[in-house]
Amino acid sequence: MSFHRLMASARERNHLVSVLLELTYQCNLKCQFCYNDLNLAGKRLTPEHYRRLLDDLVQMGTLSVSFTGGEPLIYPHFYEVASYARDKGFSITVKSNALPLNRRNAERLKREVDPWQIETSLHGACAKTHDRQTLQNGSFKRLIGNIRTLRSLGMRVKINSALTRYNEHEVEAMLALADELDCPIQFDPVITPRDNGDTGPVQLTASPAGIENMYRLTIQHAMRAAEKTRAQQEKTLTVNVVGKNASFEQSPNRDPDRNPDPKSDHGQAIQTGRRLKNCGAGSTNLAIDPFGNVYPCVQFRRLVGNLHEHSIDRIWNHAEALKAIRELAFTARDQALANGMENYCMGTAELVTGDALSIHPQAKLNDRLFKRAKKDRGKDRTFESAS
Amino acid sequence: MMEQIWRLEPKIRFRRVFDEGVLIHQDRAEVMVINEVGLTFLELCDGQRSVAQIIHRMKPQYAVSENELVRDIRSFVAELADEGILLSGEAVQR
Repeated sequence: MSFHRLMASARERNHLVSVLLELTYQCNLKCQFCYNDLNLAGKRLTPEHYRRLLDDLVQMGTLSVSFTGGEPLIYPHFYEVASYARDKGFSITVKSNALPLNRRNAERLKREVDPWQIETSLHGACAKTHDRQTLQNGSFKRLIGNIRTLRSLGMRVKINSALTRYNEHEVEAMLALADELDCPIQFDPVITPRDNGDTGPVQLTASPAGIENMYRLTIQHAMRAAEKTRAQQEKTLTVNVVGKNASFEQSPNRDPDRNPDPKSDHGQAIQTGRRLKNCGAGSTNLAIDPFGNVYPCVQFRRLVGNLHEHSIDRIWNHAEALKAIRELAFTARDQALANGMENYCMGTAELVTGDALSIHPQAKLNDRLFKRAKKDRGKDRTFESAS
Repeated sequence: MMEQIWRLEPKIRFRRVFDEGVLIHQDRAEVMVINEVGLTFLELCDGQRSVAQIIHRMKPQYAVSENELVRDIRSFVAELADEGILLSGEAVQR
């Protein structure tokens, strides 16, 4: 079975694959679009709680753990918890603004945590734009320097970028910068309200022309990258074990939701009309905040349990709220298909409209812009930003 | 080969997902899926047991001849060793 089919099966059969841990909401930046509710309070999880949680997750067969925040490296017990996760065999992602990762800290991170990947955030192609969004002068220079250090140590870095009206005119330059740093980059055009409902960040949402331009440029960029690496992507080695196949395959860059392989579970479900879930929220993924609150996804902040009250195993297998979300995911998928979409973010929908089944207008617009850009394979670009 | 002790390369992340094994090769950025037989072998491959001992443990679970099991496991181990996924006891001690 391919990895994608196995993950599709995990979603269908509710296998907890990935857990995101928000270790702290403290941060050394003040990004204007940050979604964290900085006023949220409660009884913090201790390193002992995290060890117990990670032990339980091993038993549950969870593959990966992501550490985020706030800025996770500010959490005073970060190395204690993250190296414990490493020792327990998790594939680890650290989502950091990378400002703390000077050479000394980067070497320590590699030595003690050995993450699969570091995900960081780039908000512009130059200091003026980037620092305008982080509200900290010098943050761009430090970020780029630290990414170079991480890469020189052989560490994998992925760049995430929230597309805003401040940086929508710099997408091409950001793609070039990411290439120069030898890092993949992913843009997210959805700026959500804060988790406390504050809609202030939404004012930074990029223009429709800017969003479409980003899609066109990233499609062109992906096509160029695919041509370069096609031979490597197709590398497959098959080993026969007692008449069965054990396939070894490099992870393809295909996005199964946007571009389903017709041979995949997803593609076949589309062809046969079999019901699928909208996403893995609560079916393969969970997010846990610093106070032990458990949510189906980092973007879907509907409380399904708390680790101070119940173990993760109990929450995963018995929480009625989680069962409801899994059912909701089927309905949401039907709702997406009825709107000509393959999926949408239930969490953002609930946050923006109060109803996880109500696809909000920005999601519909983004989907339309993406499809238009994809239809002509990223060509026919005419965009001028007023920002 | 049969008396050799093997263990997973420490940078390999390994989990059971239902009846399949998922191996993540950190350095090569590769994800691998192993079928149930390979999964059983790897779960028993703890750096303590030899290949022969593991096959002895596995044999009652599979309706195949011992020769067939030995042949396939040998091929499986050789392939994983070539890929740098399994390390022999001697290599581990170095």
